[in-house]
Amino acid sequence: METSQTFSTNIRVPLVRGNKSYGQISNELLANVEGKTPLWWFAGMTIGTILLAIGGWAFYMSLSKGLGTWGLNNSVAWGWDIVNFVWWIGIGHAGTAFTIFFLVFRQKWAGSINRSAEAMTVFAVMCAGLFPLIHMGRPWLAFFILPYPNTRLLWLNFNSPLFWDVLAITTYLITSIMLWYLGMVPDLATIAQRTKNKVGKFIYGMFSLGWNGSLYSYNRYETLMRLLGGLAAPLVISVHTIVALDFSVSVIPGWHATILPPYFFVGAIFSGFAMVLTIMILLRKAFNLFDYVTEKHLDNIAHVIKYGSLIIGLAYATEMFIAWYSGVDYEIYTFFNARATGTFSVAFWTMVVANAIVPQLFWFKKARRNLVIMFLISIVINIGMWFERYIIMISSLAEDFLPSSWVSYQPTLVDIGIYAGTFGLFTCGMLMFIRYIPIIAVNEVKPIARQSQKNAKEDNHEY
Amino acid sequence: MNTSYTLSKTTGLVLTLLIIIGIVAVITGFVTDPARTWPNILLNNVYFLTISMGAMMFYSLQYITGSSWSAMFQRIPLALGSFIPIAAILMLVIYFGLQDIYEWAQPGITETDKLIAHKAPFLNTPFFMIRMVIYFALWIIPFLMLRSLAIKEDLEANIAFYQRSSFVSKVFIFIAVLFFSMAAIDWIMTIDAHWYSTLFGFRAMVTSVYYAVATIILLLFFLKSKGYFPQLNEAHRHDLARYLFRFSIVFGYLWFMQFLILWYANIPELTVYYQPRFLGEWKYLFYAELFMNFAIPFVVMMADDIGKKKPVLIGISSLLIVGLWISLLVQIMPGSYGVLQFGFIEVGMWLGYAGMFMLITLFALSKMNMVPQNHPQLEDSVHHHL
Repeated sequence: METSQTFSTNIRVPLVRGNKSYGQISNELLANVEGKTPLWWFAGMTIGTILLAIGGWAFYMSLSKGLGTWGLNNSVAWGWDIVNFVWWIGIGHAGTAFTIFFLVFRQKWAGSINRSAEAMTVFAVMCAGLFPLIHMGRPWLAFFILPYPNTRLLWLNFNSPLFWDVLAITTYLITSIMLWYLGMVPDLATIAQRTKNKVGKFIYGMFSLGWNGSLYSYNRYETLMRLLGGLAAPLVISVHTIVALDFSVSVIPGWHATILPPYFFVGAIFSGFAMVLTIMILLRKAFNLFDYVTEKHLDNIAHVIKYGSLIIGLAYATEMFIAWYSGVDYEIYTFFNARATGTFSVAFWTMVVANAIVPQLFWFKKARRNLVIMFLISIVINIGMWFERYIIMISSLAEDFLPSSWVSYQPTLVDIGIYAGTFGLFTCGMLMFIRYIPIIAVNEVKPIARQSQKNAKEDNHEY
Repeated sequence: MNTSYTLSKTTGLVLTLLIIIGIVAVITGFVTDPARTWPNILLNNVYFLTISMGAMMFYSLQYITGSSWSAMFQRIPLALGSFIPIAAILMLVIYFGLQDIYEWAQPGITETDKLIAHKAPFLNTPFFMIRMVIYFALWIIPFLMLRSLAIKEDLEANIAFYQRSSFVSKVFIFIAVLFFSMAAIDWIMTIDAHWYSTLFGFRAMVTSVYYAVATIILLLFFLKSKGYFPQLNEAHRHDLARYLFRFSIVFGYLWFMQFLILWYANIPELTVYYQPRFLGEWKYLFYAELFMNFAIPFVVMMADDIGKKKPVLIGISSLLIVGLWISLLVQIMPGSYGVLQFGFIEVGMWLGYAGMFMLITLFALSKMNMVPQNHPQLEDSVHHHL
C-alpha cells in the first residue's frame, strides 16, 4: 500500500510561483518604487484631490457655519458621521488583523498581502478619526479629550465608552503605524541601497534606521515584531469592541444587545477583508504581481469572507429572534417594524442580502476563481456593511420610545461632502503608498519563495 | 502505529465503579429530592455534550483550515464525539423533569405570567422536544459520516476521503454553530424564562471548543502514559497550550462583555439575572467561574514557553474540567432549584457521567486505529516542529 507521501502535495500549493532568484524578486517587487510613474497614478491622484477638495469645502462649512449644516436633529444626534466613522474603523481592522492573526496562526500566505492591508488600516483609521473630530464642533480643542493634569479643572468621564474609544483608537493607530513602518524597514534599506537618486538614497536611508541586514539585526527585529504583534492582537479586538460598547451599553432598543461586541468585531474583519480583496485585485493587476498574490491568496481571503458572512448572518438572526423572544415592545418594534418592514426596510434588506447572502457565492469555486465576480462581491459587501451601520445607528435613534419624537433623517450635502473627502484622503494616501513604498513585504516574501521552491523540488512538481 | 486502544482491566474497573457511584447518586437524588436531581441531570447532559460538540467542532476545524499539526491525534476528538448519540437519549429523558427545571413548563403559568404567555409559541413542551430531536438528528448524521469516512480512509489510501471529510466538516460546523447556540438558549437560557441575552448561545457554542481541547489534552496524556503516541513532541504540546491560552481570552472576553453591557445599562429586567449570582449566595462561584476559566489559565499561560510543560498543561486542563462544571452550575441552578446545594448527589452524578463518558470514548477509540493510517497530512503532523 502506498503511504501518505504520494498525495501529501496536493493539499498545499506554492505561495510564490515561478523559480525566482532573490534579485529577480527584488526587481519585480520594487518596480512600483523604482519604475516610472504610470499614467493612471496621476489620474487617480487627480480624482483623489478633487474628492479631498470637496471634503475641505464640507469641513470649512461645518466649522464656519456650525454643525447645523449637517442633517442632525434632536432625535438623530448621531447621523452619517458616526455611520461613516464605524464603517471606516471596520475597514481599518483588516490590516493589523492580517498581520497579527496570521502570524499567530502561522499562515505564511499573509506575507504577500499584509503590507498593503496595513497601509489600508492606517489610512482608513485616519479617515475614521476625522468624523468624531469634526463632530466635536471645535476640533482645535480636541486635546480636551485626553486625560492629563490641567489647570482648567477639566476631568474626563472615565465611565464613558466614548472616552474608551479615544484611547482604543489612538493606541490602535499608533501601534498600526509602528507595525507597518517597522515591517518595512528592511525593504527601505534595500531601496536605499539600490537607488541611484541621491535624495531618494538619503530619505530611504534615513527611514531604514541604519539597517544592515545582519543576523544580529534580524534576530532583534523578529523579537520586536513578535512583541508588537502580541501587543496589537488585543488592540485589534478592543477597537471594534469599544465601538460596539458605544451603542450596546446604552438603553436604546436595537443598541442594547450583548452580542454587539463580537458581532461588530466579526463585521469589521469581514468588511476589512472585503476591502483588502478589492485593493489586492487592483494592485496585482496594476503591478503584475500574479506570481506573488496568486489565486490561492485571493481564494483564502474569499474563504474568510464566506465564514465571516455566516457569522454575521447568525448575528442578524439571533438579534431578530431575541428581539421577539424578549417580549419588550420597543425591541420588537425596532427590529420588526422600523427595520424589517418599516421606514428602513430597503436599507435593512440591502444589508441582509449584501452581507449574509451574496458572499455565500464564495462556496462555489467558480466564483472564487473569477476576478470580476470577486471584485463585485467585495464592493457589494462594503456597501452592505455601510447599510448595516446605517440601520443600527439611524433606525434606533429616529424611531425610539416616544412616537412624538420620531423624525426622518436626511443627510445634507455637507454630510456627503465630508464622506467624499475621506474617500479622497484614502485614495491619495493609498496612491502615495503604492508609489513610494514596496507594496509587498520583500523581506518576508523571499524566505516564502525559497520554501516554495524547496517543496516543489522535493515533490518533483513543475511549477 | 497501527494499534488501536485496548481497555485495560484496571481502567475498566475504575470506570465501572464511577458509573455505579453515579447510579447510586441518581437513585439517592430521586428518592430524597427530585427537584434537585433534574437540574443536575440537565447540567451533566449539557456538560458532556459541550465537550463532545466542542471536540467535533475542533475536528471539523482542522479539516476546514487545512491544519496538519493535529492529524496524528485527530481520532481523539472523533472518539469524544461518540457521546453525542448517548446525550440525545439522556436529553430526551429530561422530558419527565421539565417542570422541575423550567418555569415555563409549569401548567397554567401562561395565564398568570404575561411574558411567558408571549413566549409560549416557542416555549412549550411539544415544540421544545421537537427542537431537541431536530438538533440531535442534525448533529448525529454528519458525525456518523465523518466517523465512517475516517474508518474507510484507514483501509484505502485515497485523497477522496480527505476531501469528503472536508466537505462534511463544513456542513457540520454550519449545523453545530447554528443549532448548538440555539440549543444553549433552549436548554439553559430559558431556565430564567424572563431574561434574555443575545450573546448567550454564541458564548456557549464558542467556549465548547475550549473545554474540548482541555479534555483532548488530558486524554492525550492518559494515552501517552499507556504507550500510545510516541511521536508526541514539544511542538504539539505547545500548540495545544496555545489553543487553551487563546480560548481563555475568548472566554474572558465573552463573559465580561455580557456582564459589562447588562451591568452598565442597568435595566432591572436584565440585571435580575446577575442579582443572585453577583450579589447573592452564588457570588463566590461567580468569581470562581471567572478565575478558573479565564484569569488563572490566562496568567499562567502568558509566558509562551510554559505551555510546553506537561504538568502545566495537565493542571490547567483539570482546572477547566472543574471550571466548566461551576460555569454551568452558576447558569442552571439559580433559576431552577434556586438554592446552592453541593453534596453527594452533585459529585456522585458528575462522577457517574464522567465514568460513562470515558467508557464510551475509550470504547470508540478501541474500534478504530489510534493514529489515522492514510491521512494526507500525517507526515506533517508526526514531524511537527516549530
